Amino acid sequence: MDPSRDAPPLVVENLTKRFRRGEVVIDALRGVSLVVQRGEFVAVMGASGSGKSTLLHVVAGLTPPDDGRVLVDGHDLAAMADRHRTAFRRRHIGLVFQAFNLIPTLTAEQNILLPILADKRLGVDNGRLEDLIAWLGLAGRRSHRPDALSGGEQQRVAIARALVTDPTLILADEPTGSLDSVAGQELCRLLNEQCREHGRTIVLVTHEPSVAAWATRVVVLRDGQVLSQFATAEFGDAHALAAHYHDIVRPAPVTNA
Amino acid sequence: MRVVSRLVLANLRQHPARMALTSLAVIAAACVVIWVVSGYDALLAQFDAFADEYLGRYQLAVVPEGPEQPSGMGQPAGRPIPPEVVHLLQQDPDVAAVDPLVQSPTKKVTRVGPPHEPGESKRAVAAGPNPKRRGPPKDGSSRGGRPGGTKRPGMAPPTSGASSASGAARPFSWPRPTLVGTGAQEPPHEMVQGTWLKSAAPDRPEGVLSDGAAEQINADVGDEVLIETERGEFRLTIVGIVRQASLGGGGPRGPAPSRGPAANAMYVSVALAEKITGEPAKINCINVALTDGVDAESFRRRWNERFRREGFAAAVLDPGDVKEDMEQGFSATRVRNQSYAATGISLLAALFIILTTLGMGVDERIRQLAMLRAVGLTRGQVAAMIAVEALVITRVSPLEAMAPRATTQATRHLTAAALLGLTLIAVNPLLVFVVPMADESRYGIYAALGCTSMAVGFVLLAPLAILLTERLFAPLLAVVLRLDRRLLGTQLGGNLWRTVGTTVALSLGLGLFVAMQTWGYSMLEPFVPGDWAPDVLVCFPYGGLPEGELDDVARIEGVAAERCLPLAVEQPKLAEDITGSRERQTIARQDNVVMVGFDPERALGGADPMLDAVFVEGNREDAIERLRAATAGPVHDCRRRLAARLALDDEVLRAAAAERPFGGPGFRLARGCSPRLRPG
Repeated sequence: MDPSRDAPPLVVENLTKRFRRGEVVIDALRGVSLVVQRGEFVAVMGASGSGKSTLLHVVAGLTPPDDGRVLVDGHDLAAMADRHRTAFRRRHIGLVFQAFNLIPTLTAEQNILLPILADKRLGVDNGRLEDLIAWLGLAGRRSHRPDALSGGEQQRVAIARALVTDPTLILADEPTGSLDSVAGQELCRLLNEQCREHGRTIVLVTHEPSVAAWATRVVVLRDGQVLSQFATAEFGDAHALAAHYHDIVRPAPVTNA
Repeated sequence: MRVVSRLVLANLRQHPARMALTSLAVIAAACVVIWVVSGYDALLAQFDAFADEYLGRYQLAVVPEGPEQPSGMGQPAGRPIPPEVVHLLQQDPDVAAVDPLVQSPTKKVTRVGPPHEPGESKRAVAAGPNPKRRGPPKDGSSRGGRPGGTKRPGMAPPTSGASSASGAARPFSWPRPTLVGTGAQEPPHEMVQGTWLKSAAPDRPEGVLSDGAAEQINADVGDEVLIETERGEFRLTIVGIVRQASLGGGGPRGPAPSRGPAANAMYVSVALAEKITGEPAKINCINVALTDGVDAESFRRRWNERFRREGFAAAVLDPGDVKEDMEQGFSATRVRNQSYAATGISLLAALFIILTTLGMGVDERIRQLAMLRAVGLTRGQVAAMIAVEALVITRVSPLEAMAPRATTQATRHLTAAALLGLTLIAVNPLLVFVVPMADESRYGIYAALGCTSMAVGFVLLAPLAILLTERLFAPLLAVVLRLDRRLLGTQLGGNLWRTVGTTVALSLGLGLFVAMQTWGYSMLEPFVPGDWAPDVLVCFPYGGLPEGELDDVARIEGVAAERCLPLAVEQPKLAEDITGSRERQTIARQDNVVMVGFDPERALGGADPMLDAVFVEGNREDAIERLRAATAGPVHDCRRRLAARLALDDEVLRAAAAERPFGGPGFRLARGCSPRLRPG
């Protein structure tokens, strides 16, 4: 039986990840558990060093966990061999990075098609490609190399690359971090649209409340642990969400005994 | 592979100059290998072709067994083959033809013109050009830049390899044609002109030349030639020319086997050969043709065994022996060693070029490679990308892609690598100086194991050496170059493997340069003439300067007549291996010696001797006295040092002289007469 049929797109169970620097051990994730339902847009927030990016990398199978497990569409990534995990990631997970990470020697279209070109079982769906390019407004830029594109255009190419295989899950690591506010908001609108109109499941790491406001749920991390979770619908606008977020992450006042 | 090839091509297009330069460097290295190795292959191919054609219509040759004869000169053997061998061979049903040869050296062979040409004196014709021809003088010599032999003052001295009168470049020395007495009814090789010998009678002086000899003396069918031997001069008419195998394109150039039929021949009847040499015929080679279907190899084995069993000092040669004989020659060995060395050096250089270039490419794209892994490329695809890139650029090795970047934590590993490197470096001196083994094995193991371990050892040592150098000198260098020290660190230690590659490549180049300079100086220094040498040495190849013409040379403008000393130079092959040349052939260890004859009084005597040598042992007077008595001679100190077995009063040349065709006494090192080059 296909485990993906009824399983949530993402299940994170008691995830632990430690980094060692010589004699020093840093606990990046400490028992993080999370379930993301199909079509849900989750924003992971937290201060620098809280474990946001580590969580995303472990979920993507780029970094192995020390403990716990990650189920994507019901498949345990840690149980797969590297080769199969890579193929699974290629077909089921789309990744968007802060620094775009396009191949400078390839054109925009070639960059979009990169995951398909790397997989013998995937063929180019020209109709889907044209729709993606048109939807992202890249029709006139498809033959340009990254150095001829603006930051916003580069990130849209990166989103197209993440969507070209029609993945179950989109993981975005601070995708607006290198963009101005206008381009950032436009990008969030596109992701939100994918979520609403196509039922795409998205997990986005950010420290910006204005970006998190586009999500349906916010997960707040602190020191490698889930500190809080809340629905964005509870707040009227980004400012209210920001205020709530700051209330959560603000250190508790020290009281005298 | 489509994504791999697309990424590789895109990256190569991005760095066209790097791609072009690296490819060019590797192509150049490959060209060096191909050039040198193809030279050796071509030489071997020539040997193959030559060996197949060398015996002409015969399959085998019987030669005297014993000390080797003078190499490459087509000279006859000194020890004759007993006539019984001919009779025994003739009785063998496997033999179709047996043709014994009587081979004798000549002093000089000169074309003297068409027969019965009136009005020409012998000398004038011998030295003069043939008005019908263009080309070198008819005796094959350039006569000191005196085309036509016209005596005139102010003639220029000849130089080695100088152009002949025709302007064609010629080698320094050609072997004189060998007189070959034969009773063969058919020519041993294909006739290219004229006919084979018709008469065995000595009163019909006719001869047939090999094409090489004909080219050498510029003779045609119908021409009359003058043969000069120890006994005197003799004229005969050329009736034919045969095409005889030779190396180097048809002339009497290049190497020849040390035994067997002469490659550069003047064929005459046996009776005529006896008349010319004034000696009874002594068979020193027998050409053997086999009947159809007889296996030459089994025949050779059978007869060699029989010769040994019955005590005949003879051996049967086949084309394979001829080829082997030539391959053992010095030049073939040298070319082979050169090809091995060039191959190794070029491969090493190419490898460092590849690693350095790959290292640059990988370091620059480390983030990009990580992203490719993230978007779905497997480890294998990324590795394949690097490998394909390497293959496209250079056709080798993704090692650098996997090489770890050096960090402070890696210092321990580098230290371990350095210790391992030092251990490997120590292997070489241990192999050379400590481990007991035969010299031949030591040389092979040194080359294969010692040099390899030393090279790997230095490569392993390099990273730590770079880090230590950086730590010690980077602050100073940063001040001198006005650079930030940390920036400098990122370019050296931060890109450690690139720095190591560059360092090793530079070290290799520097090492090669130093080695070549040291080798060149150390090898040439003993041969560079010092103050003791005369101002000018004039060479008269191809027969030397005729007696009586020395005065003409002395009268040349600029020559001090009283300071003009004739020298007689011969280079015989030594019968005894006094320099160990058979154990290991090098320039310094040779199987021959240059003998220089001179008037001892004029050369060494007086207050201002012509050859102002320093005697490191003994004294000048004793040397002159014993040279005058022709019983002993001084030896160069370099030669004496190289041949450690030589000691004063050793009879070093007796055995060699006994094998020389002209005979003569053995030579003894005069006590205390060992001249040495004067320093500076």
